[in-house]
Amino acid sequence: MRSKDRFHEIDSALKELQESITRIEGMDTDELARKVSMFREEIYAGISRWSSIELARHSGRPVLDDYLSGIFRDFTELRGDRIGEDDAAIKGGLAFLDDVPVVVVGHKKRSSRGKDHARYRYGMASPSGHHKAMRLMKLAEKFGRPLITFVDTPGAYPAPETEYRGQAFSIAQCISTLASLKTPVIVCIIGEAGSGGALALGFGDRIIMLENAFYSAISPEAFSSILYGDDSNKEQAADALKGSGRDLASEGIVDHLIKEPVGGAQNDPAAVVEATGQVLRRCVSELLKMDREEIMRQRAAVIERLLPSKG
Amino acid sequence: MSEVLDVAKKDGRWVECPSCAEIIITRKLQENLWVCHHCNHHFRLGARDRIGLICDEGSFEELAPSDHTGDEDFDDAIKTGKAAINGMLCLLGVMDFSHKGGSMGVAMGRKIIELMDTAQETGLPLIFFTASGGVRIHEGIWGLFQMLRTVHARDRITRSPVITVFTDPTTGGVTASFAALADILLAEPGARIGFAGPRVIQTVLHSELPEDFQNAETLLANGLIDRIVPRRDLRDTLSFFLRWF
Ligand SMILES: [Zn+2]
Repeated sequence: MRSKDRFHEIDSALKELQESITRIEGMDTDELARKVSMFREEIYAGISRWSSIELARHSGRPVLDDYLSGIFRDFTELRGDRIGEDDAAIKGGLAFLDDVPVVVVGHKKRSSRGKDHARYRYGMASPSGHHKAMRLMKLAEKFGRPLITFVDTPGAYPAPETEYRGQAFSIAQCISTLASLKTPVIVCIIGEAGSGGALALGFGDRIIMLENAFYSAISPEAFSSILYGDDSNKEQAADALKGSGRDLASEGIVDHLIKEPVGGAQNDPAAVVEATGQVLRRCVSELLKMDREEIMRQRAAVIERLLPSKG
Repeated sequence: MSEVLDVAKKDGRWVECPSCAEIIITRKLQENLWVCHHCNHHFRLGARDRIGLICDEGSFEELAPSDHTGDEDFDDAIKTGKAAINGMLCLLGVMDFSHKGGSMGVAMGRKIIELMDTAQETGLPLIFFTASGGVRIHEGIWGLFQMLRTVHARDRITRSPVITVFTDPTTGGVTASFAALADILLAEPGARIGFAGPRVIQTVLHSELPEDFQNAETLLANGLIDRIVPRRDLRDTLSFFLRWF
């Protein structure tokens, strides 16, 4: 069965249950509500990683613009790499999180509810995009503002022209800038987070991740091609990659896992954005209370310990 | 090709140049530092041959891994150690494409980081010879994180110069991490250096790729690397940098 159909089926079953609750007034609805939530947990604990990837790529999933408008005040975009280009796949600027001035940078996969993926190359950044991101990171550092990144990309844009302009070099520099940035960095992994392109914006002092977002070195299709010669084993490949939010939370890489609504984030984008915003506020206020040196020390310690647990 | 020649090739006396298809006597090729006489193609070298070519004879001492907890921690895709080049001491990290495509996983990352930490402790110059298809994707997210870990370790080096010599092929997460961040970036002639593999680019673009778009020469012309150094000049060029730093 296609996973969309399966989700639809699950959704209608849950909806029916929910409706029964509202119908039966005077009864112990708490008990029924508890059953619904248990049912949900059971189903989504068993959700396959491949399904997570399909949800991470879902055309209705909330994207950067939804988070920008739903969480921040007065987002003001800043454009250009100061070298000669402006990459639409990376969007960033200044904003307020409540009253805190922050810098926000993220992959723009498409606009909200838009089918304009191609215009943004599905969030695949060119070297210019990485240079823009670095410029904004350094701006955050210079003025001591928290940097907040949103990761949503299948990977860095693979093309001859991005190779000519030093894709690998721009990614290495971006990772270096981020890892040594002398200001709090909070990373939100909201969709696909593929390879070096994701890592370029993908590590910080706090990592927030949606449960069906998927962070990996390679797409399951490509991994399947390497292992089996074609993409027919993408499900197994996805399982081997273990890159869902749930996986990374259990590995201790992710600090805050954002639960998605039943069936995926696309079923209630506003709730997901709201939940992410709440956690983000908590992270920012925690980090702003800390000494900058202490933040740097902790970040270095986390990177040095970033190894799989033995077993 | 004649059957006689095929047999000769199998017993190792002859080699066909993958670039110009000329048949070369193995001994001659070896004398010419594994560079084709006809077309200047630089054959790929294993770590052992590379070390033999670059270091003063018998000077290479392999670095003992500090946290050697089992076979999986031992990574043959890179050799790390201390050596002398024209009498000058340095640290060397030499990757070997013939082992797991030189892929960088947790074990390799650990060896690279230990080598970098040794450079910072001793102040010795550090030279990498890279040859890798990128991160070891079989290790999932932990492979990817080696990019971050090696970049972080590289950024801690303040006392030593770091030199990368890109050899054929260096792609993916190795180019896009510590290797790109050396103080000096050198390459062997004709080496493929890049981020995305040609197959990945082709699936996205659905078109033929320019022949030499990831060649060292193209990178030099585009301002991405400092110099291209023919193999016979490598020792002298590295000696210059060791003297200068
Ligand atoms: Zn030749």
